[in-house]
Parts: sequence; structure tokens; C-alpha cells
Amino acid sequence: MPRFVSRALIGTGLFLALASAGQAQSFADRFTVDQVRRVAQTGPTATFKSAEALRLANGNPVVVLITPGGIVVSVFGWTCTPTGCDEARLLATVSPPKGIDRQQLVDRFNEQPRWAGAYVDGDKVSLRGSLPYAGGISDANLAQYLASMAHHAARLAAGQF
Amino acid sequence: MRRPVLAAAVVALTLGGAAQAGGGPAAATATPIPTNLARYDEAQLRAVLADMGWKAEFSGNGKAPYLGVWSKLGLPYQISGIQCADAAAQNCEAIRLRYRNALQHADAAGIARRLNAKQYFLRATFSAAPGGGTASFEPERVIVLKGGVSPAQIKANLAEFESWIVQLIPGIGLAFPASYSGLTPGLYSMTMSTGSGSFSQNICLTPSDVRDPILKVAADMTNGGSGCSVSNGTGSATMQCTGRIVEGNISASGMSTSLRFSGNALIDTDNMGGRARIQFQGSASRTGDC
Repeated sequence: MPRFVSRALIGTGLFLALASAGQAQSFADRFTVDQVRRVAQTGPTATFKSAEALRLANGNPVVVLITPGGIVVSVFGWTCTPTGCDEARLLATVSPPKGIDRQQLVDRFNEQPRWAGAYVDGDKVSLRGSLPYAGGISDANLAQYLASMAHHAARLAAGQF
Repeated sequence: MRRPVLAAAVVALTLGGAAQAGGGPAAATATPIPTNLARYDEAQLRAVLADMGWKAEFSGNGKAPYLGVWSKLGLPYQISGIQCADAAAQNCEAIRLRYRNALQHADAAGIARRLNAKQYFLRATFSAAPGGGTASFEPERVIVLKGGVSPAQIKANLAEFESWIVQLIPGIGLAFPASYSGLTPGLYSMTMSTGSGSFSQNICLTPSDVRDPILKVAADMTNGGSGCSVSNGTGSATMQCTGRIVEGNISASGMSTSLRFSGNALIDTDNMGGRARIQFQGSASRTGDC
């Protein structure tokens, strides 16, 4: 698991205040915390109740998103410079109900053509995927990836593929 | 046809020259490059593919629309529409990119599972072969188009996917199709030795060059002038050449940015019918772009 060494809690209220100041953009050519937070909380498929900006030990940014149902989706900036990151990596780890065969659940999930791949992570199941920013990512497109992660992680948490 | 700079490998020993490798003209496209793709659109995808030197070979529409494509390196892929919003399998809001050849492996399930546990970009599925044959696994990449995606974003995904395929296939002991040597295009420094001495030469391998089997690439490296043809084979082959080498046997192996080769050849010693058989061995490593 990544180690967080600094924290910059971005409350929903503060974020909304900033967004309403008219600085919102609809497209980003590099991973930014601002875009992820904006899309996660005010996008057309916004499904997250909170978005917390943190930093990894290596300085890379990460936004931890939490749905009302308690699903946690972490969005990591990857291959970063001071001006931004070239890639976003998404990760969600859930605990399917006891008695569910994790490996079978994961295999059945992966049989479906989906962006994220699932794997058995100890007693848990994790879902991960990468989003390169070359060519840019629109808010509307990023929203699909975030919503997809939340949706499929919730299904895996329920033991469904 | 072999690029002049490659064909001139041995000739350059005496001439000391280096020819330039030219790139082919971009294929004309009927559809302009789109600025934004939000669903599977064959014409738009063909335009994007053509712009990056990939070639659409065939298309169809079974359960969903699909395109069979060849990359610039000569690897076969399929791009299919998924997450199709209507019963007619149109308006597909995502595309799936897959390597088209079956990747059969006794540990297909283990490879797929490990790949899913370690990889962020690729994901993989596996399936048992009908009748109890060798299982296969399929690395894939899904690109969500819904919301709008730039052509550059699609190109970046295709290029990244191929870079992983190029590493993955030899990494698990499988062979590339004959349409691809496994080598990365670029400038290679080749050294070759025979019983009478050794020499070095810089050789430019273009994307067209690397689409030959590695045995042919290696055979051409040993030969000056007119190039060689090789028999079918995975590790060794016979070669027939015009130019300095008449015929011979060659074995070669390589991966990504380097290759090694060795063999024997009957050479034309004087352009007057003189023949001598030599043993040779050599290697080449990529040093940069051409």
C-alpha cells in the first residue's frame, strides 16, 4: 500500500467554492488533482461524497475518492514532474462477502471486456487500471472511468462480477 | 524490399558509405482525422490508424463491429466495439484492442492472473482450449470513448499496448508471427566476424525492415547488395542470396533492441565463379534512432 507523508484535506465545501469561482476546465493534458476532484464531485456521473488530496512518499499526488456506499477509489498521479503527471493509475480494493471464491470471482470479472483488471489481493479483491494523458483527457471522459471503477468495485464487494 | 542502407552492410566495408533510409509516404485517407471520437466509428478509426501507419485489413459486424488491423511493426490486432448501447450493436461507447493471434501457453491462467495483479495498463483473460488442448490467454486494452476522446489519446493507447505486447510475447517464450522480427526500428551497430577478420557497420532498420522474420533481417545483415531470402524456420534457416553471399545457413535470435546470429555461407570470392565457404558470427544492438 502507498505511504502517505503529507496531507492536504480538500473538503467538499472548499472545493465547491473554488469551482464556483469560474476556474473550472473541461479538459486536461496532464493528470491534475483539480481535474480529478472536479470530475469526481461535480461531473455528470459524480458518485463520490468526498475527494481527499494526498501525496505519496515519492511526492506523487493521489486523490482518494469515497462513494456514499463506502467504496474507496484512489487515483494516483504517475510519471510526474512539478507541472503534472503523464498518467493516472486507479486502484480500488474491496472485501467480497465471506464464502465467495475470490479467484473465481476475479476470473469471471476479467472475462468481461472492461477497462480495469481485477486480481485477488489476499482476502480482498483489487481493481486497477491506467489512464495515460497523452492527447489529453476530457472531464466527461474521465468521469466514465471514475464511475466505472466505483460501479465495478461495488459489484465485486457484493460478490458480483 | 530491404532498405538500401541495410543491403549495403557488407558493401560499405569497402566503400565506407552509408545510405539513407527513407520512409514510405503516408497512406491517403478518405476521412479526415477526427478531432474527437465518442463512439465506435469505423471510418474515423481507419483515419486515425492510417495516420499512425497502421493498416486496417478487414472489418465486420457480428455481435459487435470490429476491425482487423496490422500495426506499423507488422503485428496483428483486432479493435472491436464494446458497451454498445443498442440491440444492433451500434453506438458502441468503448473499444477493445486485442492481439489477434492465439497465445497458447500451458500456464495461460497463471500468466493472465499474474499480469492482472501486476499490470495497470494491460489486462488479460484466459480460456481453455476446446477438446482439452493448450489453453490460451488474451492481453487486451479497453479505451472508453464515451465523453469524447482525442485521436492522440487513442494513438497513445495503441502505441503503449503494442510496446507491452512486444515485451510480453518473447517474455513468456512465444514467437512473434513471421510478419515481425521482434526488433525495434532504429539505428543498429552491427559487428560481424569471420575467419579472416571482423568489421562493424551502422545499419538503419526501418519499420518496414523489422516486419521481416528475424532470420531474414540477420541474413541481410551478413550480405551486401541484393538481399537474401530464407527458408521457413524459427531458429535457423537456409538462405539464398544474390550478391556476395551465394547461399548458406544461418541461425539468429534477438529481442527488442538486439540480435545475434551465426552460420556459414558460400561466398563469391571474385565475381568470376570463385567460391569459398566461411563461418561467420555477429551481433547488432540498437544505438538510437536513424
